[in-house]
Amino acid sequence: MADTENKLDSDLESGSNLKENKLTEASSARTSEQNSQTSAEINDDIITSQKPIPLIKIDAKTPSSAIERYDVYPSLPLPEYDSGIAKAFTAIDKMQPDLLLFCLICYPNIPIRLDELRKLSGKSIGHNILVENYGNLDWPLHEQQCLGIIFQRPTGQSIDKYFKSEEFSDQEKLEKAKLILLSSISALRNLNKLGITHRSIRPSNVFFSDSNGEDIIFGECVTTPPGFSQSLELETIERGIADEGSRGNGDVSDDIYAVAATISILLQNTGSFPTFASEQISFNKIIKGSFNILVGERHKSQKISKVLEGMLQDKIEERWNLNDIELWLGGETITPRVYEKETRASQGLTFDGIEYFTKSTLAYSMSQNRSKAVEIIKSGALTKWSEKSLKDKVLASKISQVTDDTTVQKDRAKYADELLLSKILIVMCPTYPISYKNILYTSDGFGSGLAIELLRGGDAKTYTESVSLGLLNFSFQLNSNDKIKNEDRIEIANQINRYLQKAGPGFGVERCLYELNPGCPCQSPIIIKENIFFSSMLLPTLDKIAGTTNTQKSPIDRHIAAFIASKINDDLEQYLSEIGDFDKSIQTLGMLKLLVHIQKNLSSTHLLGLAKWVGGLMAPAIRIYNSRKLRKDIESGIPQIIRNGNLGELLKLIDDPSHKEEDQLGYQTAMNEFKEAEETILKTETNSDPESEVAVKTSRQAASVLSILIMIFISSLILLDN
Amino acid sequence: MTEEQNNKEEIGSKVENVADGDEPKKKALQPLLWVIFIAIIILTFPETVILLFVGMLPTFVAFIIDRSPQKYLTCCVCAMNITGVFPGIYELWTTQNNISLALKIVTNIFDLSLMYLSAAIGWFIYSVVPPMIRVFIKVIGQQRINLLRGQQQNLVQEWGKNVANIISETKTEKNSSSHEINGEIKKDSTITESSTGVVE
Repeated sequence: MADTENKLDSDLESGSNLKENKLTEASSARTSEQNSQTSAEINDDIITSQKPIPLIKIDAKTPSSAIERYDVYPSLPLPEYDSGIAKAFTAIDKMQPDLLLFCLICYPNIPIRLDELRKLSGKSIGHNILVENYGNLDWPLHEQQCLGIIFQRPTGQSIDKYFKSEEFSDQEKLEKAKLILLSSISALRNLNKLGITHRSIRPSNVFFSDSNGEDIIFGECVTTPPGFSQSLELETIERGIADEGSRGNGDVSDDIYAVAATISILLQNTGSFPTFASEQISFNKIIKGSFNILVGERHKSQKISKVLEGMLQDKIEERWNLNDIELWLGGETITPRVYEKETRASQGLTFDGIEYFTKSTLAYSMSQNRSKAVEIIKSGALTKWSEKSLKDKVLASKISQVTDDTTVQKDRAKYADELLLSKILIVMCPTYPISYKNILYTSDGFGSGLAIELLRGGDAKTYTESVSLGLLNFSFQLNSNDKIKNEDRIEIANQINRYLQKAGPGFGVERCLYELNPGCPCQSPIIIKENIFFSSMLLPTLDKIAGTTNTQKSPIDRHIAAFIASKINDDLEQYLSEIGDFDKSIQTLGMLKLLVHIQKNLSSTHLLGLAKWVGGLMAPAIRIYNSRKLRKDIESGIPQIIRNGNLGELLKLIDDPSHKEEDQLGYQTAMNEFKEAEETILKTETNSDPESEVAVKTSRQAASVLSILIMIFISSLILLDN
Repeated sequence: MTEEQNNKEEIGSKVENVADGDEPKKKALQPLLWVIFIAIIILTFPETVILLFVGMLPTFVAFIIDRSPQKYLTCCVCAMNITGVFPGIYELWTTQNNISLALKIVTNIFDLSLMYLSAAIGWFIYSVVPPMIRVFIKVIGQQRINLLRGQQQNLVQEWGKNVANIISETKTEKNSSSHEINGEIKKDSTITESSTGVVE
């Protein structure tokens, strides 16, 4: 620690006084939090490295040093602002050095919420942390470019620390809990206006915005997919069951639930909080209800338990909304709602040795023990139980209908049992996540789930298979509360299916990845380390890496093609189909056309490196011309164009219609000439044969003519002699 | 079929019959005309006819032997035979021009040898020259082929090997068309056979 401070001091000698003050302040903050600092998982090399790393703005068309406004110090971590897997470091705005900032470094293999980030960036949204800016940094820990998001530091501490502290009384803490409720109404309304859900409300991500602790702000919500870093207590039953990357954006009711769960957890810090294994949490919530699990017995008698009970209702339609909370805080009494409890069966269904009385608990257990679940479906026990014990004839008929339909399709579907079980589970609990094989995803969390699987190097086949088998559509059809929203969702599911059915570049699972995850950087092995989020970054980056990458390979691979197709709204089908052509020359020309299209659209000029790279790959494209002379002429023209860095000119040279016409005409003429020559050769070969009729005839004619000439000659001599 | 059409056809066939009847008559008259013509010649120039008849005997022989339609052998022998007969004819026509002189010439062994020897030379030319010409034709043909192959090579160098594809395409087309024709013929034969009840 002392070493670090010494190095810090020596580094700061050359810096401005203000900057020095900031860093010393950060350094002293670190001293006061020695324990947490020393446990920070930061590479020693990075800690000892004193050089700040500039943040480069990424949605600018061309990266330029002029917009390197922020410096991030990898040697000065701020663990109190860490958010999930995103680590916080000290940042300085060179234009406003007095601002207290921190930078969250996003983990490269996790997609971010880019749309939300763009909406929040640079805007002061009440009761939410201010996102100053964002951009890429050459981050040494990950040995690649990483997205850094600059936030203004909250003046106060994290509420988690406040509630853990023994300094404050329970009454004070209850008051702060109410303050959280009050602030969350404003915070969530402000986010709702922008069409954003927070989905990362947790004790460590809520801060006091002032040093007196009189106002609350929510921390960041953009560094991971929605709900990714949330513990299961903070997620609703439906979203908690889903895989961590597949919990979906949800809506404000999910945030309300998280606020209530956060308050419950914070209040539990003072007393005892029952700890469950993660898989037990969801199951207990289903059996007993979230309120009973999350709110301790001590607090159930308190006034605040009313609002928490309302906010923690497991049925969305019964959960309190922001107005209800506001009214309750205003001292008004909210009419107690008659909470409809789930129908309980008269007789239990024994599954895996346990007797189940409700369909939700049974569905959850069936999703966990799939092989046995298929057995009770096929045996008809489930249908019988639904009809006789649960007295739900609608459910029973749906189950038998799904079973019959899937049995008919059995020969066609490779995984008929899995499909059957998944559909039955959707029928039993339509709001629960879609469960297929070993994956569980909410209908709005499919994209992020797929991204997490792909980015972690897993097999996305299970995800694509579930869509191809129509599970997404099936789920949407059964969750038909909002018809308009549902139609849009079904259209998206159909679109995903269409992408998956096409195998060429620009389609397939890669296209789904980028269409469904705007915050997923391009995963092409060529540029993965450059962390590209926008199509505007693509050409300059390819241009930049041209000197270091293998230029024997095409700059457009499947990932880049899909990335472009998802980011650019123009009709690129023709170019993409050309890139997917078996003919190498069409493929190369398609690649060039696509690059030119992007260059024209984004007005990127002078791409010397990329032009050189692409120019070197043009040999197959030149081969579309038959004339060797024309090929040589074009080849000799390429270096001159490369020097201009204009891909459009390169395309014009190679794909010139007049050249093509000229070549085609010349080729046709050459073919005809070749054919004529061949015919003449055959004719000559036949006629010049000594035994041929023509040769015999001609030779005899020649003999006759010779005889006649001799006759004329001798006769003339005789006549002349006399 | 209407009556008018029938009438027209009948008239047409009659016209054809008339035309066909004139030709044989003309052909039948030709030998007679020749006989009259030759008789006139013999009667008018008896001494020349004697000389030509005796001197041109090899040509008559060659004419009989030569069965080719173009009669190149006859032509060769005749031309050289005339060369040999020409001095005798010339002497006959430029001096007395009577039968006794004609007989004298044809009985002169020297003149007769000249006539027949020249005819033999004609025969010799016919035997020797055509093979030589054929060799010459072959050499010229080969040169022409080499020239054309060179041109083809240039075309391939300029336009690539595919420029020669048209030849294989043509061959394939020819083969396929011949196959089709064969197929059609087979089909026809099958139809014929099946229609006659041979093939079930």
